[in-house]
Amino acid sequence: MRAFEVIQPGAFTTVQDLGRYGYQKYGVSISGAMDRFALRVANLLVGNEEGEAAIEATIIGPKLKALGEMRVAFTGADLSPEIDGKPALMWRTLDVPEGSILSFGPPKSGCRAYLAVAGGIDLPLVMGSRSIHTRSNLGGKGRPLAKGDVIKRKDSGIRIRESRTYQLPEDLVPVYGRQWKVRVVLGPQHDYFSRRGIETFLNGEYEITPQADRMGYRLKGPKIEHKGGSDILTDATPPGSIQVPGDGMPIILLADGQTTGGYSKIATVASVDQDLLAQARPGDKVWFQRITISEAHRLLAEMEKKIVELRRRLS
Amino acid sequence: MTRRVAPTGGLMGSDMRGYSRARYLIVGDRGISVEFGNSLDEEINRKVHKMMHALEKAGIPGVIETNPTIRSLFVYYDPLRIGVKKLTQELRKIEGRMADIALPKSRLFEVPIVYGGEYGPDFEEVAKLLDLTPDEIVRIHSGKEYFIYDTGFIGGSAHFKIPPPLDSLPRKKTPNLGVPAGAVLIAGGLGSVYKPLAGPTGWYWIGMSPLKQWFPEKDPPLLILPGDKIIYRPITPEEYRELKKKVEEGHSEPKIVNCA
Repeated sequence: MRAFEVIQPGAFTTVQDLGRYGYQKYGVSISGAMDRFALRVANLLVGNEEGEAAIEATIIGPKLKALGEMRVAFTGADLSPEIDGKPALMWRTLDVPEGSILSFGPPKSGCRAYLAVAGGIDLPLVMGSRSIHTRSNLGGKGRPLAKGDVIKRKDSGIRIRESRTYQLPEDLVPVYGRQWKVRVVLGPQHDYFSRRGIETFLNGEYEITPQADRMGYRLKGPKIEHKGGSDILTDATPPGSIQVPGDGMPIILLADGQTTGGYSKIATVASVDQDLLAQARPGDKVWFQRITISEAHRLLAEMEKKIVELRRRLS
Repeated sequence: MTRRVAPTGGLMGSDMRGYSRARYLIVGDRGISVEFGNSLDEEINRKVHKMMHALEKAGIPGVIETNPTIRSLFVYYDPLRIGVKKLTQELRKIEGRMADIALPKSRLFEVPIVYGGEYGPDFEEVAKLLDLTPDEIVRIHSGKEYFIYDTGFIGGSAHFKIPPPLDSLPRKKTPNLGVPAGAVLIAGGLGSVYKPLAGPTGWYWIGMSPLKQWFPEKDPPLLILPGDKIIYRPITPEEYRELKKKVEEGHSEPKIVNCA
């Protein structure tokens, strides 16, 4: 069934679910929501399975017309969401009547906002996912949403006036600043760097440059020193990989990152902090903190506990 | 967890046949990279694919997917379902019985190519840099069969080891921001058979092939796969235009020379 008509597309608005798995070997990026936590919560708030497809907006959100009565939720970045010109609450269930205009205003905090709709956005599954990956033209029309596009949703079966609405508990709502402590696990090629290079990486302050998108963020800051060459024999570059080319400036690969690359990788961002990085903008400051793989796994388990608890409360 | 071996700084390691035992490298909290060597070597690459096939067959709960590269197998796992210690043990078990694992048969594809001019804007520069005549480059580049090591980057770019003296070309200092699908590239000791999708590249663009590599509606979505072989066949711009039209209309099947 029809969900929205795109009146204005915003800066870079796509449809994302939890990504495309099983095809990295064919050069297909995982893609999926940059902030997976925000996507999962948005889905749970509208009564969906947590991995349904939703709309991901970037800094400047779209203007959409509701083509039916439906249940929605805004999560992630606070891009001043509005319904019919009035500020809309975030991180909670909202029911909107047919004909409503959903829009966004000035970006207040974070970078990527999610708009989930009951039933989930309906695009044909491509390699098991509805995520739009613009660099390989996969998902939807293979491009960001454009003016005039009509977006469909699956039937949720919810009779919205008769069912409960929900709100994410305050203590679970993430706070996005402009300075980010990013936890990393060293490797797989930290042995390509001098001791001084690793110290620089772990103690330096880096800034996110304007070359930052779903593929990855280029950072600038103190130059990270290699022992010898910076290039390796090409190997896998999963999301979170921190590559350092010869110029010594780190590149963090994210959801739409390529599947292989030839620069040495000093470290990998902990999964839980990849969600937070999705909310960082050009100009933001980044520090790296080394943690062990056991700590990274503990953080991930804690995050999953929050989701399980939320699912329990919402069911 | 990670066995340390002598650090390797250069692109080509000295180990032509790979490590005596694989290195298990931690890649964040969801990945392990099983590294069999540090050079472009068919034997090392076959180990990567043998482990991939065995791992897929083993169906270990918690293993999400794999990504075989030139000399290592990347294993993507769900840490909530399998611990890194347990996973490493399972992978080591497979490593112990790799000799018994058979690989699919290799196919040999004939890849038509038109060199230089508007079809390969960097061709002249490559000739100048290597002090070769255009004919010599064509003869070297199209003169032998190549083994495909990996299909990576974006859209499954198939890579092979480029023969000397073409292998001495570095990457370009200034990347080319818009190269079309079908562009044949070389740099850094590697050749890209032809680019599956349009996009930027830091490699030298020497020719065009009318063939397609990327078929998102098919499974697998790629024509040429790791372990296959290719050989270039020089064609004229006229032949290119004809073949390209046929390929776009879906009337041309790529020629598989043999199935050895």
